[in-house]
Amino acid sequence: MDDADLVTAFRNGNREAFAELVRRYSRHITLTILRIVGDLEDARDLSQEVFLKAYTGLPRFFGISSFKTWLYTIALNHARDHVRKRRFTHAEQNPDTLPTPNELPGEQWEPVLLTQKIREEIEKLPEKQRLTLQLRIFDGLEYSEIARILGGTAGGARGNFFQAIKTLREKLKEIA
Amino acid sequence: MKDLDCATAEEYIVRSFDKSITPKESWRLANHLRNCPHCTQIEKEYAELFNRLREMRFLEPETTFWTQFETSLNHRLKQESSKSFPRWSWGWVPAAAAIVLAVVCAVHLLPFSETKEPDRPLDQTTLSLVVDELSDVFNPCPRDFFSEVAAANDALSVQNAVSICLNGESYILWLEMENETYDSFL
Repeated sequence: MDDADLVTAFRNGNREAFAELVRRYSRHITLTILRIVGDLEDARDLSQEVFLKAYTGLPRFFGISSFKTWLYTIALNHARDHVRKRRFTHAEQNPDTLPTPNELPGEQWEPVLLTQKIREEIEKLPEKQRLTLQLRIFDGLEYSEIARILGGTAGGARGNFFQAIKTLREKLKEIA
Repeated sequence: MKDLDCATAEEYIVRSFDKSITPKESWRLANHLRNCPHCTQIEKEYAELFNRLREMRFLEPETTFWTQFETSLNHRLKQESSKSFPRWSWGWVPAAAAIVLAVVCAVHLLPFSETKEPDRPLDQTTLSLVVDELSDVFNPCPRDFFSEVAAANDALSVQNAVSICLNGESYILWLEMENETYDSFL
């Protein structure tokens, strides 16, 4: 069954159909939110709230967009609202989740440091470029889906992705 | 065929790692890279960057996190369903009806409708198209609802029918994308 079939089944009263939608998307949605808010506990709560919103909001979902892009739109809006309210950033949280130089031998520390620098540079990207990069690389969404979620066109999303990647390469070169 | 410039080659390099390059672009890029050490170096840098980014995607919580997540969510969904499941299915219909009726009434009641040149009345063919369009927009609203709209065809003009369709679609899109209720929309 595809997503549209499951949505129809749920609207006809089959609650198990919604459970299947949760199984399909909970991991992706939670990790997407985690990358925005930077805290696992917050990501778990927010992700659950997204599915609750979807559960109560499905009657108002008419299939003009796909269920997937609709769900991502809710998730991104919810996560961004949370960040605006809490006023803390992913970059501030990251050091806690990564090992420190004392925990790793020198030759293993260098790649960890590089990954951390890339994370920090991702955080500095303009919001639309950053979210486009994350949705493309980490969630594997099509440019048309990204455009639907963030607004704009597929070509615009492709352009944002290119600019983000180009900026990161230049930063990586400076670090190296 | 003209060789690529380096700026375009860089775009094609990104597309190749992004797996969104066409065969023709791939062929042109390969030709360019054979003769351009500058872009070959850039390609290596992008390879390093994409490797790092793809490694980062696998940093995720342990299995127990997902088990707890599912249990906790199921519990919250059960609570939610006990209070909301029975009332959701047609909850938006009164709002949709209110929008349509408001437009229809406005044609009769507002003063500007008397001073303006009367709009062309709706013929039966156009009327059926409008009803079909409304059915699409407000699907799965019962057909009876649209029959009622159709019955009021004295009040429906082409201009008003188009307004209803456009307003209806905006309304639905707005509800879908913002996940709002019809109350906040109104």
